[in-house]
Order: sequence, then C-alpha cells, then structure tokens
Amino acid sequence: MTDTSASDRPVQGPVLHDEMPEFEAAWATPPGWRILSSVSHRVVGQRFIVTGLVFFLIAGFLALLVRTQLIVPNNTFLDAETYNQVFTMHGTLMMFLFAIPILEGFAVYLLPLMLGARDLIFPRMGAFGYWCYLFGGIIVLSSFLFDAAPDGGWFMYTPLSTSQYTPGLSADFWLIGITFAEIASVTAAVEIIAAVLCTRAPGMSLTRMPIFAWYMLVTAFMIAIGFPPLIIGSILLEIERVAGLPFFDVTAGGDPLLWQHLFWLFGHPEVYIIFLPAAGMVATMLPTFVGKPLFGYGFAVAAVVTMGFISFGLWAHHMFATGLPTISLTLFSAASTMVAIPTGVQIFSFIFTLAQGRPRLTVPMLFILGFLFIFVIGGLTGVMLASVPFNWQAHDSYFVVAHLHYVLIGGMVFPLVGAFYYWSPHFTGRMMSERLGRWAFWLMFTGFHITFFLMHLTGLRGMPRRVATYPEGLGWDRLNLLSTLGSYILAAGVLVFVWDFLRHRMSGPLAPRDPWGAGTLEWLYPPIAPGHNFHAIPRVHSREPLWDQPELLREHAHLAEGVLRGASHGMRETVGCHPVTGEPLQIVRLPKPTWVPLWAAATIAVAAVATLASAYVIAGAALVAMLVCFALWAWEPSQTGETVDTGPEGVLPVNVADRLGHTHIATIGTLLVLAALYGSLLFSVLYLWNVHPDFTTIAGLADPLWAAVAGGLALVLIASSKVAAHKGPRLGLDVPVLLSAVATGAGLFVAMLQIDPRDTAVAATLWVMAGFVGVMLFVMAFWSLFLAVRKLFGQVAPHHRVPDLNRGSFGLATGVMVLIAVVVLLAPHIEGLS
Amino acid sequence: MIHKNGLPSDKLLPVLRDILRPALIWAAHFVLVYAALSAACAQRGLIDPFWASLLVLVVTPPAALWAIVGARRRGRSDFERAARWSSIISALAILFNAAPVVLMGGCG
Repeated sequence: MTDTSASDRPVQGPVLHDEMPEFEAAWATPPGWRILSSVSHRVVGQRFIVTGLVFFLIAGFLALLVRTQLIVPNNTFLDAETYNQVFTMHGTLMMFLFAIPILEGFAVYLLPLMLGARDLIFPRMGAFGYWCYLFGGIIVLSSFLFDAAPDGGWFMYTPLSTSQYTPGLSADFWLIGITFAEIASVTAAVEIIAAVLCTRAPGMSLTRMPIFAWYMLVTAFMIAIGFPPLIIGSILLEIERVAGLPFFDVTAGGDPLLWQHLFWLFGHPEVYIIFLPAAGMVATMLPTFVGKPLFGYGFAVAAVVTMGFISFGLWAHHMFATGLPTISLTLFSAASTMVAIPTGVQIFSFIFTLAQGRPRLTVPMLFILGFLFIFVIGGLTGVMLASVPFNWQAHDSYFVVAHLHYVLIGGMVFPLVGAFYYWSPHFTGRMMSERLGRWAFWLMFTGFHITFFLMHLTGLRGMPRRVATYPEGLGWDRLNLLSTLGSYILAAGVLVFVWDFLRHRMSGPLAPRDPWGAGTLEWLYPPIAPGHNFHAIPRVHSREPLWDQPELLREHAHLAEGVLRGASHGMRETVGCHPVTGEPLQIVRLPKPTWVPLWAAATIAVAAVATLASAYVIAGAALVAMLVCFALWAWEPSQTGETVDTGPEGVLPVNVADRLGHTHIATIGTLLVLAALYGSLLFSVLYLWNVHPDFTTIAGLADPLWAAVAGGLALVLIASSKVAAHKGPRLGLDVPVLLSAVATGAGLFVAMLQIDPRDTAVAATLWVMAGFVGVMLFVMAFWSLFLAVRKLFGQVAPHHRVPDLNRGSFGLATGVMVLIAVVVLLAPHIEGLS
Repeated sequence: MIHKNGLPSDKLLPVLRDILRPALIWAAHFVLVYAALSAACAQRGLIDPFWASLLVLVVTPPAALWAIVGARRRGRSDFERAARWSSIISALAILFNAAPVVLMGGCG
C-alpha cells in the first residue's frame, strides 16, 4: 500500500496504487488546470464553499460601510445613492450568493460521505450548477464596475424597480444575474433529492439515515418549490423592463403587489431553507460532543417535515402593511405563530441532547451554544412580529433588522462557522486552532449582540430601515454609535476565523482519523482520502455506524468489509438503493471528468450578458450552443442491462429502468420544479384576474376552436409518450411524440393570436403562461428528436428503456400543463356563455 | 429483521405515509382557506364572505380529524413517534388556519 496524496496536502488517506490500480485510475482527480473539468463532489463542494465564503466577505465589507455611514448623525461618508447600492448588494450577496450556496456546498461535499456513496448521483449537474452560480454571481458583482449596482433593495420591489423609476441596467444586472445563479440552487435541489433517496449504503433505511440528510432532503424539496416563484417574478419583471409588457403596471391592470407575493412566496421559505441545513449541522455535531445520539430523532424528523410545509404559509407576513384584507392578515399571523411549534420541537430536541451528558466545550460546541442562545431570541422576536398590531408598529424599523439578523446570523452563520471548525479536516487534513477559534467565537458573539441587540431599541425608538443618515437628537445617536462599534468587533471575530482557516491549511496539526469521535460515516476514512470515498461500501446497522459497528474503525478503512470493492472495467460506480428501505437496487455508473458542464454554463452566461447588452442575436446563438452542449452531455451509450458482481450483495443490474431508478426520481424532482414554475404563473393569472376584474374584459379571448384542438393534441402527446415508455425504445414510437408536441405547440400559438399581450397585465401573463407551455413542448420535441437520432446511430439497445421511461413522465406532465392552459383559455368563453 | 433504529421493511412505507399525510392535508387546507378568502375579499368578490367562512367551517373538522389519524399509531420507534408528532403539529396548524376565519368572519 502506498500512503500518499496530492503534494500540497498532508500524507494520509490510503491510495492503493499497487493493490487496486484500476480503481485509483478511475477515481483520480485530473491534475493541474484540468481540475476545472473535475465533477467530483469533493471538488465541486469545496468550490461552492470557498466561493460562498468570498461572497460572504465582500457582503460583510459592504455591511461595515453601511454601519460606518450610520456611526454618527448627518454623516457624509457615503452619499445616498451609494448607500442604497451598498445595502442592496449587501442583502443580495448574503441571501443569494452566500447563505444558500455555501450550505449547498457543505451538502454536496458531505452527503455522499455520510450516506455511503462514492460521489453525488449526478456529478455533472453539480458542476454545472456551480459554474452557473459563479457566472451569475460575477454578473451581479460586475455591476459595480459599470456604476450600475442595483439600488432597489434585495427585494427589488415594484414599481421602484421598473424601468420608469429605475432606468439603466442596475435592476437588469440583479434580475438576470440572480436568476442565472438560482439555476445552481434548483439543480442542487434535484441532485440532493435523488442522492438522498437513491444512493445510501446498504441497510441505511430512511430511519437510519443521518439526521443531516433528513434536513437536506426537506430543504431540497423546499428549494424545488420555493425558488420558482422568484424565478417567474424575475422573468416577468425583466420582460416588463425590456419589452414593456405591463405585469406590474396598475394602469393596465397590473399590480405591484403581485411582485411582492411572488417574491415572498420565495423569500419566506428561504429563511427556513437557510436555517434547516444549518440546524442539520447542529443536529449532527451536537451528539458528537455530548457523546450520545440525538435526543428525539423522531421528534426532529416530524418537526423538519412539518416546518417544510408550514413555512410556505407565512409569506404575506412580510406584507402586513400593504393593505391586505384584515382576515388575510390574521390567517398569515396564525400560520406565522404556528411555525414556532416545530421550531421549538427542534430546539428542545437539541437542549435535551445537551442534557443527556457533559458536552465537551470545543470550538464547534461553543458555536452551537451561541446558535441556541441567539436563535431563540430571534425566534421570540419573530413571534412578536407575527402579531399584526405589533408588526404595524415595528414595520420597516430597525427592530426588524435586529430580528432578521438574530435569526440569520444566529441560525445560520454561527452553526456554519462551527461546521468549518468541525469538518475542516475533511478539506485540509488538518485541525483548526482551538485558541484562535475561541477568540473568533467570543469576538463574534460579543460584537453580534452589541450590534444587533441595540437595534431592537433603535427600532422601538422609531428609526426606519434603509435611511442613509438621520438627524441628531432623536435618541438614535448613541445606539447607532454602539451598533457600529459592535459591528467592528463582529468583523474582527470573522477575520480571526478567516485567518485561522487560511493559516491552518499550512500549519495546523494533522487531523487523526475520526478526530472528534463522531459516529457518522463521513469519518470512516482518515481526512483527505483521495478523490473517491469508499473502496468498499459498508453495510450499516444504525444511525451512528462508527459507534455501533466498532469493526469499522478497528482496522484500516480501505480494508473494511463492504460491497462493490474495486472498480469493475475501470468505471466509476456506486450502489443505488431502494428509496425507503435502503436495500441495494442497482449499480449507478457515474461520469468521469468532463468539460461539458463548464461549456454549458458558459453558453448561458454569454446569453445573459448578451441580453444585458441588448445583443439578442448573440443571446439566441448562445442558447443554441447551450442545446448542443446538453446534447453532448446526454450523448453516451446506455448501460442498462449490464450487471456487476458486488460481492456480499450479489449481482446487481446497472442503471435499472424502473420508477425507483435514480434518473426517474430526478425526472420527478425536475417536474416538481417545473410544476412550481407553472403554478406561479397560474397564481399570477388568477391573482390579476381576481384583483383587477375591470381589465380582464379588455384582455381579449383566445380562439376556442384552436384551444380545443391544442387540448386534443395534448391528449395524443400524453398517449404517445406513455406508449413509447411502455413499449421500449423503437424509432417509430418517437415520431408520434415529436409530431404531437410540435402540433400541440402550433395549435396553442394560433389560439393565442387573438390576445394582445400589450393590452393588459392578464393578457401579458397569459402569453407567458402559454410561452412556458411552449418551452415544455419544445423540450419534448427536442428530446424525441435526440432519442430518435441516438437510435439511428445505434446508441440504444432494445432493452434500454430508461430515456423513454423518463420522457413518458415528462410527456404526461407537459400534456397536463397544456390541458390546464386550455381550461384557463376557455374559461372566459364558458363564463360568457353563462 | 429489526436492527437498531429500525422498523421492519414492510412497515416503513406506511409510517412514512403517516408522517407526510398530515402535512399534505395541512397544505391542501391552507390553499383552500386562502382561496376562499381571496374569492370573498378581493375586488372581484366571487363569493359572499359568509360562504367563505362556512366553507372553512365545514372542511376544517374533517381535515383536522384526518390529519390527527396518524397520532393513534402505536409503537416506540423513532419513525412512529415522528408520525404521531407530524399528526399533532399538522392538526394544530389546521385549527390555527381556520381560527381567524371562524372567530372574525367577514373580510375584516
């Protein structure tokens, strides 16, 4: 055995060049600059984490500029315009480019290790998501270079963000860049759903799954449903800015509150999307330092699942001051109060875990305690703000700023820093400093409270948010001074942490195997294992396999008993499992390093930049190039039907054509995202129709005959795609699917021609709805053409049913969307008849 | 075979359904309450507020009862406990959703 690793890393993980050369070659990370083509979850996860940290530091610097401006009354450190840009970019970077991506980075890195998989299930999708995130973030940040930084707040409220009140490109940078970056979140969500459900170690049923995986599974579903409303809102607003369609224009039956509904339908669940992964980290780290399993695993699962649902019923509590009917306010107030119950269940679960033993007060543990203290205070002020009368008083005041920072910094940043200290051996093979860590904690903890606790008082004394300065003598001077000084202390704590993170990479003590005595599977190997995770995947019998199966740590990790030892035929493989029981179901073949994800993301980046520059021909060409990239991505020989001898678990088939197979589950996950996008559009149509009835009569009616024809063709589409899925890959079956998709789109287009999208907001939204369905039909047609070409070129054997199976489900969903669109278009005719 | 933290394989799916069902019922109930209020209280005034309140009043008890069904599941495994708590939390949330409509009536 040769113990070695990359030259800049500690010599630790077992690399079996002599014993298993084929395995090591299959999983090797490309050297030099070719590492950019790596799709390994370890590489991609670290990219997410490091990039997120950079955005955090930039956003933190902007926060310091804000606090410096407010240190004294009538300050002129920043002018009002710059101040608006700075606080807008602070919020935007923190919420979109730091909080969610960095947590996804941890999930991408840790989940396969915890679940007993050799990589994430769709490595190329993870890499593609990262590049979209990076390019989107660069686009948003580059607005500073063009003196066009967004200045309308991180929420981009209309009508302020429309071209009438925000001319120039600043809002476009935000809308295009953030929507682009959100592709990363959505792709990561689909990937995490499929990975958690389909690639767990043998024996790891849902009840034995690490609690972090439960948190991430629920979070991924929340992202899949929560992000689409904002994506739709951003698309509508960008179309209004570029093409003048009146979605938010009150003179044409539009409504600025529609933007707020769409934004907060995303924005409030997002708070929980940020909180839950961090709470999952706490639930993972805490038992390690207490030395006991998490108290009330079942309570925590119930709380996480119910919180995932209930958090979608709170969005309008950000709109209490917008004039919604009082009865609606009370509904959202009730739901906002109710969410405290599952949150409280989780907190008590943590507290009872603490009470089970004598916790070791390590640095991660300090940050966990800091999280509990701060987040509980933030939760309590959250319950206060859920009360409508109090909310009206505190609305848009510094009390709200204090509350949200208690929830987000307490609920996310503190656990995150604790997580860095806990899992850093995985990234560097070394331990971060306990001494510097304690300095970082106490500086951050003290600075945080000085900064934000006082803001409660500033807010209660009436200071509004988002003001560039304030006159003296209103009782805000001293509080602002102290808050600013506190922010400097907080920043010093962050700098100590960052310094420790950079420093320990070179000089931290080497981390031993399982340095904290944890029970979860990611610590089975010594830190810095080579590019792969498991030479053989062990069968697990409990949630803490390293505690309950001592044989796993008794000898070298690479000698542990398990399935799939080695790499047959030099391919990357992992075990695919039954989503519920965790029993092995199939072998999943994973891709090797490839440049395609980078090229695909780059084409979208070109399209985004070209749109910003109004170079629409280039944007169109880039989108065509994107389709070529996706075709190259999917152009690979099908391996369904092959088998692999896994050892203890016997012979398993490769990439099974089954509804429980990983690609089908990913298809369902993707359809969930698409359904949420479509649902957001339907909500928009119904909202405008309901709120501005006078304008719906002007909107014009779709041609009923052609709409009915489109509906009939949609039924043909559903039937043909289902027949193709059932009968298996035959070239003749692709043709009806292709033709019915094209014909349905044509029918729908003709039906829409009688509606002028420039007339009213409802008409414009109906066109976007039809356009969305058109894109779905285009995907069906492109997919069918692609499959047909593959069959022509002999890439598909008769038993390779997976693509047809997946297209069958996609076709069903597309057909149903067409039928819903037809009902919406025909409804006014039926209403007129009645 | 039952291992630590586990349930027999054949019991996993029914218990998982018992965890998810109450939350899904809550979601459906919330959408219905929101839709009823929107239909009654927006400018179009599709239905009278009285009918909206009545609708909420009628659907809430069966929804809460259906959600709480999982709470009668016995067993001491973590998953069964999760099913019980998911039922309790969701049933409470359903009652919370309906309370304002029932207590206040009208559009406020």
